[in-house]
Order: sequence, then C-alpha cells, then structure tokens
Amino acid sequence: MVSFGELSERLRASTATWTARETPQFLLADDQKNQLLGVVVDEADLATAMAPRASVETPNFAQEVDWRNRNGNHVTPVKNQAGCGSCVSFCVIATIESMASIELGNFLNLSEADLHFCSAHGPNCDGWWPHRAYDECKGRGVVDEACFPYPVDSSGKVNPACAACDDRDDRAIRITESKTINNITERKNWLSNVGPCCAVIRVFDDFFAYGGGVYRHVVDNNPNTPDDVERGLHCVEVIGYSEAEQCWICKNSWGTGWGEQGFIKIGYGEIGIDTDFPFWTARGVTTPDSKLAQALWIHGHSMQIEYPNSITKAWRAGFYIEVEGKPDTKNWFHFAIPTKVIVQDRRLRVGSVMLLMETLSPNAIVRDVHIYDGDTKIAVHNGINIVGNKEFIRFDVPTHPHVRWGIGISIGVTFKNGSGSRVMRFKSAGCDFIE
Amino acid sequence: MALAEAMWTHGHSMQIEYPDNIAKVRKAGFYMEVEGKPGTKNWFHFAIPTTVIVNDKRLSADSVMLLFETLSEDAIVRDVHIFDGDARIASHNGVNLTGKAGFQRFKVPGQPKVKWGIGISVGVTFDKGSGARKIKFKSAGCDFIS
Repeated sequence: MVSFGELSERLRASTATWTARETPQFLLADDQKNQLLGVVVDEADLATAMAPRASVETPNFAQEVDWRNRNGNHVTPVKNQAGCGSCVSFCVIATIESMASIELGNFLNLSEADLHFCSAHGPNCDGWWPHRAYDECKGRGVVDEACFPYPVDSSGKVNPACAACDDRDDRAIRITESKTINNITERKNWLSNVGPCCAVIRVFDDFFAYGGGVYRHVVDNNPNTPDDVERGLHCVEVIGYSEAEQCWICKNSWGTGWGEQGFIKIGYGEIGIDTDFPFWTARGVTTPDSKLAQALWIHGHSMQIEYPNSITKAWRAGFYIEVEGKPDTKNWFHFAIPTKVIVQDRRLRVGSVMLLMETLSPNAIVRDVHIYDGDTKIAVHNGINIVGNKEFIRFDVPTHPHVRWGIGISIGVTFKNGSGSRVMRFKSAGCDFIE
Repeated sequence: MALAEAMWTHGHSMQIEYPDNIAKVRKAGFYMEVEGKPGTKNWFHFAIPTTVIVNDKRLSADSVMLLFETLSEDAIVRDVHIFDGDARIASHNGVNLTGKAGFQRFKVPGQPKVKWGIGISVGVTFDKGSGARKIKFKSAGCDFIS
C-alpha cells in the first residue's frame, strides 16, 4: 500500500486540489480498510440502471446546493459504521433521514443496525446493494435508533446480530418510492429540487487519507513506487454539489475524524461516481403516526369537462356522470376535491387520490391522471392506459406534500375511432389526507 | 352516535340532468334559480363534500338537508334520492313539496357507513299551470355521524 509520505509527495507533485491527513481509517490495516467497503454489485440491476434513457432532461437546477443549508439543515449528524461492511445501510438511512426532514420536518435518527442485521440482508457484516436496501425500506421499513442502537463496542468491534426492540413493527418508518438516476442533469435537478441521493464510488488508497478540498484520485505514474490499489466499492450520501468547484458534496459514514468533519467533496467524473454507478433516491417518508386524518370524496356528477365540444353526450345522473367522446379525440376531466388544509391547527398532507370509474369499451382509455394542489402539479401518472370496469383505483402522491390550496384531480382520456362505445362513467373521486 | 361532521355545498353548485327541459337558469350569489319548461320533469344533483374517514374511523350518513323554495305550486319537489357514489342509499318518493319549503331534512335509513361521496338528487315536476315554474336551490348538506 501507499505510505502517507509517498502519498503526500504525490499530492505535492500533482495539481491536486485536496489535502491528505493520517486519518483513523488511513491508519487501519489493509484487511480492516477493505472491511469498510461494503457495496456488492448486482450486475443485472446495475446494467438496467445505467442503460441510456430516451428522455432528455431540461436543466432546472441551482449553481450551488448543500442540504446542510437549504431552508435549514436537512443532513443528520455524521455516523461511524466502524469495522463493518454496512456502508450501504448507512448511506440509505442517511438519505431517508434527510427526506424525513425535508418532507415532514422531522429530524430522525434511524437504525442502520435494523436495516443491515434484521432485514433480508441477514445478521452479518458483509456488503449489500443499495437497490435491495431501499426495497427493504419500502417493505418492512426501518426503526428509530433507540429501538436498535448500532451494536459497536468501545474498541470499534461490531456485533452483527439482530436485536431490535419487541415493538419494532409498530415503530417502522417507510418510504413509498425509490429510483435510480444516471443522467447528470437529472441528478442535479433532483438534488436542487427534491433532496439528497445515495451514490457508489470506487475507493483507492488515497481516499482513506482525505483531509479536505475537492478530491480527485491521484494517479501514480512512477514505476518505482507501489501502485495505488483500488480497494473496493463504497457508498456515500450525496447532499449537494458545487458548479463553481465542479464537485459533488457527500456525507461519509466513517465518523467526524475523517475528511471535512466526515464530509467530502468528490470531483465530477471521479472514481466512477458519474460513469460507473447511478444515484439512488428515496422519498415519500411515512412514520407510524402518519395516520389517515381525513378521506374526502366528491360525487362523480360534479366533474368538469375541459373540452365540451369534443363530447357527444354528457349525462349527469344520480348514479354517475356518463360522457361519450367524439371519435379520435382527447379530453381532460376535472374533479375539485373538498379539501381541509388545516385541521385543529395542523396542516394536513396529501397521501393519495382515488377514482371510482369505468369505461364501457377499449375505445375509451384513461390515459393519464394528474394531481394538483391549486395550480401546482404535485403528482403525474402518465401512460396508465386503463380500460373497462376497474372501479376503484388509487394514485399515490409520492412526496406527501403539505396541502395548501385545494386538491384537483385531472383525468386525461383518449376516445378512439373504433366501433365500440366511447363512453366513460365517473362515479366518485376522493383524496386521503394524512397527518 | 355523535354528529361528527355536517358538510354543505352552496346551491349554485347544482347540476341539471336534462338541460333541454329548462327554460332559464340563473346562478346568483344567493341561490341557483331554474325555470322548467311546462309539463316536464327533471333531476337536480348536488355533490356533497364528503369526509368518509376521520382519524382512521369511517363515518356514517345520517341524513341530508336541503334549503330551497319553489315560486308556485307549478314547481313541485317530487322525490329526493340519496347516493353514495353510484349506490342509492335512500329514496324519498312523493314528498311533493312546494312554496317556501325552507330547510328540509331527509333521513338515510340504517345510517350506512359512507364510502364514496354523497350525492343528493332532487326530482322536480314542472306543471303546465299559470304559476311560475321556478325553483330556487340555496344549499344542500349532509350530517355524518361516528
């Protein structure tokens, strides 16, 4: 391995924009260093995540983003995974803690131990893949740190056994959505407008000695010195970026004695962060006390038609409103949901909307459902292509935003030019509001 | 059972089932006034804002209420039907209300749990007499109990 002296010499000889320090992690033995790097790649999943996508993202991001100071601090304190390959669980939990702060205003301290040792991962310190960890957070959820504190002793030894509290299922916090982003513009859009992400990086010897600045891996071209070894794959929370410094700002899980109080700036394109792995996102945090506060509905015959001239017939009956579209037309149908934005001094959040409807043949297709709070579109479900008697259908609002102005549901319907009926019946529309 | 919610909607939100049978519609701040053609029947529908669940507990429909008047005996509120989504949960036929009926309450037998959103459908007959065939709908509401 590279000695600190050799690394310092390389940095002096290069145009490096970062400084090295003999951090606690740099002083570890090689096998202990390797133990910290716990990303186990799911090759098929990675190939899917990194496949080129047809959509072109429009830049919609700020020049500088740091969620430690973006309408308040939404980054929880730096933790220490100690001698265990649990970096994926630390990274995934860090993003959920950030999103809980952004979405709910709750600064949570969640249990990495519950996620890593009690889930499908199993009670061991082996590595993991972020996609699997996020799936666990959507399903069984994760609990608060008090339910299962990270089992590390004073010497830094981790006991990888599941010892969650008895009522962990009642305390579980979940997310409703996680996805991958491989497009750089989309990453910045997300970080700018939604929240932090989770990233995977390739770790070389010099990374352990990171002390501050914008990290760029220093390549050694001297055949007479030891090669700088790639030790493995690691997972960090991306909390922002700087266009001025051309870097991602990340939170590590190696304690505050490493890097800039536990944080690092990684140069764009470095150590595989942009080229080899996607970013993972989390949102829609629900806590055990996210109870269904109100479910509000409005009858189908209150529906409003956007393009009446494209309608052959609209019949408002006691049972429902029945509309028949002209052949080869598209239309939008709108419901104004009765909305209590505040109940007993508490502003409610939007959980999901629901529709009770049917189409009488495949010539009437429910194409899209958009959900609004006033004039703000808060959820889009495009290309759903529903036909027939589906009756009750629920559409999630992933971020569960606080509601301000009144919920609108807009249903895009295509009426085709076939021989069947082009008739739709809207029976009712509603919305679940949560606290 | 306690009265958990009483939800109302203003009269000018009313929807007309057969617009071709209407001679005139006036949506005013006070009410919605409709004049029927002579010798016609029509249905007028109110979508009541419906809280089906409060704090994880589903409510029940107890009764609906109407605030209306007809301007002569040639406009007769004949029937009142109550729906939950597309399910009819109460029928009050042959009520035959005219004049300054004001506030009228119609019970929902069995007080069923509410699922989809309450609709009130008001059946009106417009006779061929010499009186005004006008009705003013001022408001409609529903009492929900828990």
